[in-house]
Amino acid sequence: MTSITDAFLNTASIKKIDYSDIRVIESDRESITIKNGKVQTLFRGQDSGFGVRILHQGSWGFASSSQISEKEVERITLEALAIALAAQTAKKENVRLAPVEVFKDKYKTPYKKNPFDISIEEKLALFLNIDKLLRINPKLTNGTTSYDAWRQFKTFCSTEGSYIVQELLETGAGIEAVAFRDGEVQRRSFPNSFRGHFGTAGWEFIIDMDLPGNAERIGDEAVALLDAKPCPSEKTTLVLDGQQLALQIHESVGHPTEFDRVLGMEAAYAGGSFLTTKDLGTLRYGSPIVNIFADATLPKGLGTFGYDDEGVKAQRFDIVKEGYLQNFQTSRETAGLLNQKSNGTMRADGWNRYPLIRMTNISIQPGTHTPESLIGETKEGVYFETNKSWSIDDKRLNFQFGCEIGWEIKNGKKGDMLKNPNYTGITPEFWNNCDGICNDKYWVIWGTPNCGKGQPGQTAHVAHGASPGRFRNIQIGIRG
Amino acid sequence: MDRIDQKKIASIAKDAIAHSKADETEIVALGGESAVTRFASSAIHQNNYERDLQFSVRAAIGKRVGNSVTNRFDPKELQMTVDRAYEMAKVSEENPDFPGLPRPEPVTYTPPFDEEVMGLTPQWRAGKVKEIIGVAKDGSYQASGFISNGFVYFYAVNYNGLENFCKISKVDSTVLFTGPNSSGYKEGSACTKDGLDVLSIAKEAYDTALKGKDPTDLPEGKYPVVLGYEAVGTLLSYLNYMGISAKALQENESFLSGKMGQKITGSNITIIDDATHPECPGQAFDLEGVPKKRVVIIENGVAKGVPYDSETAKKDNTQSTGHYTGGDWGPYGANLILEAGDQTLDGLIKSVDKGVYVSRFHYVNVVDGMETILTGMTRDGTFLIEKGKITRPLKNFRFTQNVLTALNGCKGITKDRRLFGDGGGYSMFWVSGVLVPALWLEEFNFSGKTAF
Repeated sequence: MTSITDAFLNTASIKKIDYSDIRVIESDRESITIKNGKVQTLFRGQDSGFGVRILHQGSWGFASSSQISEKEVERITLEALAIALAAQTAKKENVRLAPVEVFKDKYKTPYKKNPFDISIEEKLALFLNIDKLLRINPKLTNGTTSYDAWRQFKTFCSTEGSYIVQELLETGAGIEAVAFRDGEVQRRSFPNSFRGHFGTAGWEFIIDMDLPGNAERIGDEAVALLDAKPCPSEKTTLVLDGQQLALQIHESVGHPTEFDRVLGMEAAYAGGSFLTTKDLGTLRYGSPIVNIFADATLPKGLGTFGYDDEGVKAQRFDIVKEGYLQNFQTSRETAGLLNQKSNGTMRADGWNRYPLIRMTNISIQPGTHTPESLIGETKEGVYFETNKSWSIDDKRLNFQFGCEIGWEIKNGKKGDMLKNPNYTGITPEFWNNCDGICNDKYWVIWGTPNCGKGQPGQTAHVAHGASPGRFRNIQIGIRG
Repeated sequence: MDRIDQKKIASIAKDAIAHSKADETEIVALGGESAVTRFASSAIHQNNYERDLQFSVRAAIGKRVGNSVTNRFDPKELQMTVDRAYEMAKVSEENPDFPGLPRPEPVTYTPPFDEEVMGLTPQWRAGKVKEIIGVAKDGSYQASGFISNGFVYFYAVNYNGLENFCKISKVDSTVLFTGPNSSGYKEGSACTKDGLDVLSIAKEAYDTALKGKDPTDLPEGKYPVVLGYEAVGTLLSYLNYMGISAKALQENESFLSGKMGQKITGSNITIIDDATHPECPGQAFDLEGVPKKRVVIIENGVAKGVPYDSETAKKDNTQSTGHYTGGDWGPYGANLILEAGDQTLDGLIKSVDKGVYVSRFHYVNVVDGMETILTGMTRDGTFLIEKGKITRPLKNFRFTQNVLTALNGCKGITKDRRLFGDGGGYSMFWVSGVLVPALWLEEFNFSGKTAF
């Protein structure tokens, strides 16, 4: 690897480039999908390449290639330089980078068992058994069991002297049960929807999920949903399980506090933010019990790493404290505008993409309730679990979420099952209506491996820690 | 390495197939280059250039199948990848539906490829961005968007003697103008350098932003709508996602399940998938080398057909339509076309007594896939229509709407259509697009609204 980074540094030096960095990434991926007893996908693959990012005369350039050789590194570095120089054509101000400490370091995801060392036979035996348990109910239509693992060896080298090598491991799995009858489909997933739950962890992460222990229940719930009551349309008290609250945080706190969005840098695609710099410290984002923080050091968090893709060390910072907005997520380019240093949120989804501000592990502090007290104190309301769909406007205000399953709450007790539950709201109104959060016994850091942003598009692996929470006066039951 | 080294790719792929211990082996190479220049607040702020070449290997031992991928362009690495796929197949379970790898079929379609697109430079893209920015005479309107150029090539070879190659070039752009309280957006795609009139797109976006200044309130509710091309493109893309696939149909997870042959929407609605259509071109064959074929999905409102790959085709005792995607999703259309009508956009607007004009939708998602109910927001140009004229701009709405029901109330379709590509989307290997007219719909449900 040093011959590659040396070729990069040499070219950058000859061309007197103001600032440049290179990421060389070699990654392995494994994926298994079993549907209705059939092995639909059994895959193990490899991907490698490098990307060179240049800041020269105040403009950015980025180029990448899958051909890792000294000659190609020189060519790509010069291509990135040509792009940066061409960008001068339409420049307003020079980009300035906030300073960063130079690191020569290594980081490795802590894990007990490397999933890539577990034999395919052992994996298939486990997942085929889970598939059988999932489909015990004869009325179930489809059962899917899935598993994914990623391992990335990333070398970061900058012209400022940083040289960081990271070995990042991610593992995840899940089950999905689908029941079809008379043109209606209902689905249930566990531990989470859209291929399950993910973390920076090893094979032990999947064993701890206890998929076999939950499979039959999930299949039964999917079938039961066909006969459940439709979600009523009304304003009521809404209790959300931790999985759904995690996605609520993602869409209505994580994204609007990405500082590049606030500055309009994502306007053309994902949109902007309703927040401005004047809101820092002054905007009442949520009720006093709402405390939301970013922490890229949390064990097993899918947004956990050693250093971001600008060589900034992983760190923790508050986003919302006692209901008030505190900080944005920043990069070296954007942090300077706030007279701050970067808080380390720049990541690219591969060697062939330039890094963007991406959520790490954006989480809500646990509260003091138990699920029993949260529901027990609710005279009339609903409890929703597991996300099914999500939508929010381009400033991150008006949102609508659908869940897989719900239950009525009457006089402090869970009652009848509800199907097609959904709810809508306006971000700060919603968070200001939060009046109860469960304690840390019920706090889980939920991995979200499909966060989209940027052009060309990138998919980030992020996470959100959450316990179940309660929100008053929320509109539920929106139908077409 | 040559930019498209077809000879070397074919050579190492065939050697790797000869090396394979599997009963059947397939290698599909996807390669190309893509360059994106992105701008925001009327300045270039990001760029991305990539060059990649991936080899996907499928190895079968009887009906046990394994897959592997590498992007190392090296004979030994490719052989190791073949070995890896073989090892996966050895330990896998039999897939009773695996029909074997496809046999050769003639590929008669050649996608458009413009050599000039290969030669486009960062300076060309930067110059175009400068032209776009210059459209705004009012300095309070800022330009955002991107312009990209690239090419993709596909090579498929398998044990049965199938061998196909094709390449396609792409130019895409989106432009958003944002003012103090309004915005306007347009996008476009083409396969040739001169096929995309970036300036024209920019002028339309700017014009919409100017007209949208000082948006006003309108109560949420059900209204007649005229949907602009971008809005229709989004609805068609999501209809596709809700189950226009043989696999989804066979597994009862498609909105078409149980409805083939039935009238499911308006008689004036015909939707096809056709990668060989000159106005919506795609690659010549799918990711198992089967030539792309035209599929009629909905004809005059009646559910007619779905895309197939070889596995789903065998289950239904029919032929593959060339829509294998290589993933768990099953076969899906990538070149969807909504058939044109005979009206103009102005003509549609003139027909509406009171309704809403929607330029574009944002963050659409599925509420109920079987009922084709979507939710999302309007964005970048929403206007009130009164007595056939656009009278004032509106703040944005949330919609929650059954798409087939909305299309059942289609009262007018434009003759002209626009092509929208993957828009510099998630992978440079997706050569997908939708070709759509604008529509006048009798009723559309705006279930909520936002503050801007």
